[in-house]
Amino acid sequence: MPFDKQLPQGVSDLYSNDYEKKEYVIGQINQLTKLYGFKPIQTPTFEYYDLFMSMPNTLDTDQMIKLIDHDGKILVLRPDATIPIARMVASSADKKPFERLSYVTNIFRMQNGESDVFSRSFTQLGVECFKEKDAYVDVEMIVLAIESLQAIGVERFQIDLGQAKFFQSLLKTMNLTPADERLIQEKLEQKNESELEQVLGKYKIDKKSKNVLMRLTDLFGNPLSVVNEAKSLALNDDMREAIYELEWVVQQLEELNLADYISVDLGLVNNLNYYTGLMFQGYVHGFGRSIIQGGRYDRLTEEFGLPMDAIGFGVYIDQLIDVLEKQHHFLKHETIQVGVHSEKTIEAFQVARQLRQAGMVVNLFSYETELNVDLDQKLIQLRDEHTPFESTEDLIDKVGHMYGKN
Amino acid sequence: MEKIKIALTKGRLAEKSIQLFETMGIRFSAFYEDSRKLIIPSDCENFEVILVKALDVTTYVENGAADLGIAGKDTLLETNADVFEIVDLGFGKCRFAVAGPTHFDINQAVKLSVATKYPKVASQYFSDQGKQIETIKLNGSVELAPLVGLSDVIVDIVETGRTLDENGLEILENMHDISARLVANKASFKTKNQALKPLIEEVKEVIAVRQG
Repeated sequence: MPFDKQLPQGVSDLYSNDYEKKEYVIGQINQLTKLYGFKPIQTPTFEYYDLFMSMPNTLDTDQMIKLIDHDGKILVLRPDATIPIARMVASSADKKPFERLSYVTNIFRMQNGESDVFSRSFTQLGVECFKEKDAYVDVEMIVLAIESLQAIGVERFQIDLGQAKFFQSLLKTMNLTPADERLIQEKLEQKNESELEQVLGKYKIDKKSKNVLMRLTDLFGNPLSVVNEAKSLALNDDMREAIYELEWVVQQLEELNLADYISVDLGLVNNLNYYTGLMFQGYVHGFGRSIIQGGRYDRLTEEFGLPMDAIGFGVYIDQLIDVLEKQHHFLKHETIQVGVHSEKTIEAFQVARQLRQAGMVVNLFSYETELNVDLDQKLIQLRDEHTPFESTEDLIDKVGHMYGKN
Repeated sequence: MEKIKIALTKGRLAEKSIQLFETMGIRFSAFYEDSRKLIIPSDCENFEVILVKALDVTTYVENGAADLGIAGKDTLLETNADVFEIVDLGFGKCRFAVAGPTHFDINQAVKLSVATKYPKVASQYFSDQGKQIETIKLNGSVELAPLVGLSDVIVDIVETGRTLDENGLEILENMHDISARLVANKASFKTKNQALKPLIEEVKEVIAVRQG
């Protein structure tokens, strides 16, 4: 195929059926976020590279898709949804309306791999709540995440909770260099027990802290038992506080009868320079990637000069559609269309308008449709069946009846 | 019970992995019957082994096509996959090394050219030392490259060093030690934990016994 008719790597067209699915998924979740008081917002598709560069270690700058502005400044296509929203909130003069924000947006990432599994442009739906830190909000966000997945009929999913502060408070006591901290975090993130042990062997760390770090690789699963064990591992007040916070959230979720959807992993330590408290990820049984990512980030707006606590999560819409397809959730319920035919075109237009007002899909003058109306012969044809009609009212009544049945 | 899929590296590593499962009482009789089959169910039918190329193990696991995988640390370093690396299995031991003609001085070369199957590992290693290199990606018989003047040195995995020796090359620098690792898909590890945890615990026990 000639170059000018091909698509670049990592992007794709969405045909009507697929787009309808996407609209459906987004619509269902957004109905819910509205009921929770979230108001939709939009940030620009591209912003200055410096905005994302100034965030310490949050995003891989190699993965950003860059453009050069006419004055030579570097722009990037939105590589993350939350940072621009934090910027927007912090730079707004009017703080009041910014409390609960929702978005549906495309995220752009350069994928440098040889395979095309990861798309370079994907849709994320998310909510962000900017409000003074409050444990009730943490619970509410997790409930919203669970209800969002329920609303579109996802089965066998699981929300895995973590607590950034537990690990962060432990690291703080060790006085390591940032590079060493990163190395420990990397090994823990991989649950790589043997290499973590090797790495820890190189540093002068007291035995107790070392033990707790090693235990973290395996500290996941049933919420209450993990929390209980973690309590006995807490070495200082900050760690204890982190665990009590998590325990409270878990208890609330249990009492709301949502315990079945919850697991806890205290070794969940990715994106730690971003998250400051509760973190969570959503997984679906039999699907290899996370479909929800979220957590509390109380220090992000500080980067823009306005300290404000915040918590949010994002749903990967494209992956969610894959999940629903895997679970056979999109039954074919395509609506039928009505064709209207007449020598007198004006009359056909008028009847079509009335049918549409009655909520039917009309494809004027088409013979591809299952249901056809011949105004000149006063006949309604549904497949091989012909039904006569008297007046326009009678027509709309009869067509409506057949339309409803099919 | 739902089947657990395990991706193994075709060849010697697969044999050793299958032996490991056998010591745990999980038999794959079909593995010995027909060597061309790529999907092999366990005799108890609770597990399924998929045989793939070394560098593909992490691809299968990362994308959730396999729940678990056994791959060499060399391929994990090269692919940099987003998986859990749960157990160091202790077998398949070898190391990454820089090798070249005898007495070749790496520090003398203005722009070192390195032939390797592992370009990412090679660039990372040298860039950590602040050295610029030129990588030449090959798919096999890497030892040939310095002999015919394609590159100055090679970066490859070395087990006994015999192949190097026979081709008149020697180890110039040792890089990292390598062994086989049990890896897991991050989502499976969470959603199928009830099934995976006992298996992983048993693997750890067997390995601990083996290593005394």
